[in-house]
Amino acid sequence: MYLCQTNNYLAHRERLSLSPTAIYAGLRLLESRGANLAGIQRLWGFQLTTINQPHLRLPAFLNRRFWDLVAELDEDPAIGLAMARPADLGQMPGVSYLMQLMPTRLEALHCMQRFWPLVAAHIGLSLERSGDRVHLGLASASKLQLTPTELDYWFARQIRYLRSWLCAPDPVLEVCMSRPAPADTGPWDRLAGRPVHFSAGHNALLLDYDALCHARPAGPARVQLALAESLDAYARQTAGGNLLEVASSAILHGLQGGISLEALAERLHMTARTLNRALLREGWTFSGLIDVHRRYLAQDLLQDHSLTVADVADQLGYHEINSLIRAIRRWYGTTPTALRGSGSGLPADEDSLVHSAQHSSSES
Amino acid sequence: MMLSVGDRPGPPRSTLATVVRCIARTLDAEFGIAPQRLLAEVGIPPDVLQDDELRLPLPDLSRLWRRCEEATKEPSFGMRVARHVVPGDVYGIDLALYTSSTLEEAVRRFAQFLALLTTVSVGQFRQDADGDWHLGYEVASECPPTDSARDFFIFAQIHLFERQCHLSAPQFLRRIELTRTAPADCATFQSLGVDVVFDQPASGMLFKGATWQRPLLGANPQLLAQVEQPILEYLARLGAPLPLSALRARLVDRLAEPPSAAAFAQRLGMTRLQLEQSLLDQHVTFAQLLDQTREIQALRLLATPDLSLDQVSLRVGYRNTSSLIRAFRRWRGITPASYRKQCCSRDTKP
Repeated sequence: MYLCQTNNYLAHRERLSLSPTAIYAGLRLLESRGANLAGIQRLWGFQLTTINQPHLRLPAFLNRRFWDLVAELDEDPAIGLAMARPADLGQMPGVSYLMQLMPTRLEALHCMQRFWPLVAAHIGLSLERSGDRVHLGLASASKLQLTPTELDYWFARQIRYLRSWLCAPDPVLEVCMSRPAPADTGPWDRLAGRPVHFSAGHNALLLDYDALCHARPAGPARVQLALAESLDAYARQTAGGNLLEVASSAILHGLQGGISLEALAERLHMTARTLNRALLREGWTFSGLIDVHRRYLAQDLLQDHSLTVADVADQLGYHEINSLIRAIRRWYGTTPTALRGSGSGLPADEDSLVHSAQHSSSES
Repeated sequence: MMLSVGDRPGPPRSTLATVVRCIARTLDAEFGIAPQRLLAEVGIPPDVLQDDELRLPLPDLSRLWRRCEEATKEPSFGMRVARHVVPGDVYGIDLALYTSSTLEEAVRRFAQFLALLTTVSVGQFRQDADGDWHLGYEVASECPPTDSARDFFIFAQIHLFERQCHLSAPQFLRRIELTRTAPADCATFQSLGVDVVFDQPASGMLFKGATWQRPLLGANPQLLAQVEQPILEYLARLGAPLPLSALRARLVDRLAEPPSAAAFAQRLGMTRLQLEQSLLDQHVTFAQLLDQTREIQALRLLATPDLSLDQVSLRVGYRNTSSLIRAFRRWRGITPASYRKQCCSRDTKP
C-alpha cells in the first residue's frame, strides 16, 4: 500500500537541483577536521561565500563534484556518516524543524516527503507501507548516480532524525544500501545498530510502523503554518532556477540527442554570446559543462552492466566509440573496462564488455 | 488557576506551560516516576501537557518544582530538565536563534522574545571592562521562583545557545551565575566546563567578548522573518512589548506599498490601539518605525551595486529619487550616491 508519493513542487522535481543547506553541516565538519576551505572552494569551482544565500539552488553536478571532493580529501571512508552528525534545525530550508513539530515520526516522514523536492530534487524519495513495515527508499532521480559518500550522508541523517526523539522506541529494523561493503563495516554497523545489507540493489530503510506511530504532543500549529508558508515562498522564489542549473539540466536531458550552445541560447531567449558570457560569470564554459556531465555520466553508466560501451557512448552523445575511450583516458587515465570494474563492488564481465565494444566499433 | 493567552498581563507572572512537558519527560525517563500522579498532587490538570499555547502562573509551577525536588531528592533536578527541551516546546524561538546572523543577535533575540516563555524574569545586557557581555535576569515578582526553576531557566537557555549556534558552552561563556546556595556536589553544576558561581543576587551569565559577534552559519533572514510571525502574534496577544527589530523585518517586504498601522496590526493579530501602545512603550510611533525600516533597507539595497537609484527608491517606497535623496540626507547627512561610493571603495580595498 502506498502511503503517499512525492507529487508536490513539480517545478523543482524536474530540475535536479538541491538546497545547499544539505551540505552546510558537512562543510563545517570538514573545517573542524582541519580541511582548508579555500582549497575546497578552488577544487570545487564554487564560491563558498555564496552558499549561505537563502535562495541558492545547487545543480546536481556541482553536488556530485562536492561529494567526490569530500571522498578524495578526507581519508576516513565513513566521512559521509560523520558529516550527518551536527543536528541542524534550519537544514533543508526549515523542513527539519517542521518535522520536529509533528506528533509522530510517521507524520514527520510524510512532511519530509511533501517538501522533499525543495530539499534535494536530485534524489527521489519514496515511502511505502506493507503490513507492520514502512519502507523509506532513496534513489537518484536522474542518470547521475549518488556516490557512496553522499548516500551514507542521507542515510545517516534519516537514522539520526528517527533516533532523535527522546524516550521513543527505535523504529529502524534494517538498512539496505546499494553501495559495496566498505573494508571495515564497523562505523555503519554502529550507526544502524541493526543489520546493514550492502550491494543491495536498492537504497532503503526498513522501519517499524508501530514505533513510527509513537506519539508525543505536536508543536504549535501556528509555528507549523508559518514554516509551511515559508517553504511555499521558498518554492516560488526558486521556481525559475539559476542559469547554471537550467544549463546543467538541459545538458543532462539533451546529451543523447545532441545539444548545442545555440539551441540552449535560443530556448533561453538570448544570443549564444550572451549565454556564454553569463556562464563565464559563473566560472564555466558551455563545453566545460558538457565535459563535466559526460565525465560523471560515463562513470555511472558503465556501472550498469546491461549497457555496452557503445550504448554508453551513444547516451553521452558521442558518434564514435573511440571518442568515449579517449575521453575516459583523459578523465580517469584508464579504459572503460577498468573503470567499469573499479567503481562498483560487482565484478565486471570483461569478456562481454570487450566483445560488445569491438562489435560496436566495427559497426560505427 | 490557569491563564489563557488573552488574559491581561501584569501582576500574575506566567510561564509557557510546555515547561510541564519537559518536567514530565524528565520524571518519566530519568527517575521512573509517573508524571500524571505528581501533576494531580499539585493540582495541574493533565491536559496541560497537550496544549502548546497555555500559560501557568508562577505559584502553580513553584508547587510543581518543589514537589519534584521532594520526589526525586535531586539537587540538580532543574539542570536535568533543561536537557529535555525539544523544538516543539519553545514556540519556534530556537529556530529564530538558529537563523540569526551572529551569536550576539541570537542572544539578544532570545532576551527580546523571553516574555513568550516567561514573564517572571527580564534580561538586561551590559558590557564589562574586559569586553565581555553580561546578561543578568531580574525577577519581576515578589515571590521568587524555586532553585530548580531558576537552574532550569539558565541551563535550558545555555543548551539552546549551544545547539542553535553550534558552539559548546566553554567557547562562548566565561561564567554562570546562580542565586542558589552552593550545593554539596558542585561538580554536577560545573559539568558544562564553565565556571559556576553561587549565592549571587541575580541569575545571569557572562559571554566571552571574543565570540560574542561570531557569525552563525544558519543565518537566513527570510526564514527568520517567517518564524518570527507567530512569535510576534503571541507576544501581541500576551500584551508584551513587540521587539522593534522583528517588526521592521515584517515591514521590509511591504515598503513599496506600506500598510497602514491598522492593517499592520491586524496582520499581527492585534488592534491598532494595542500596536500603538506597544510602540509608545518603546518611545516610537508607527511612522518612525516605517522610516527606520526604510533607512535600513535603503542602506542594504545601496550596497548591492546592480540596483539603480530609481529601483532603490521604489523598493523602499519613494516615488522618485529626489524623495529618496531628501530622506537619505536626513538619515545620514549625505546623498545615496556618495554613500554607495563609500561602500564600494571599502569593498574593493585589499
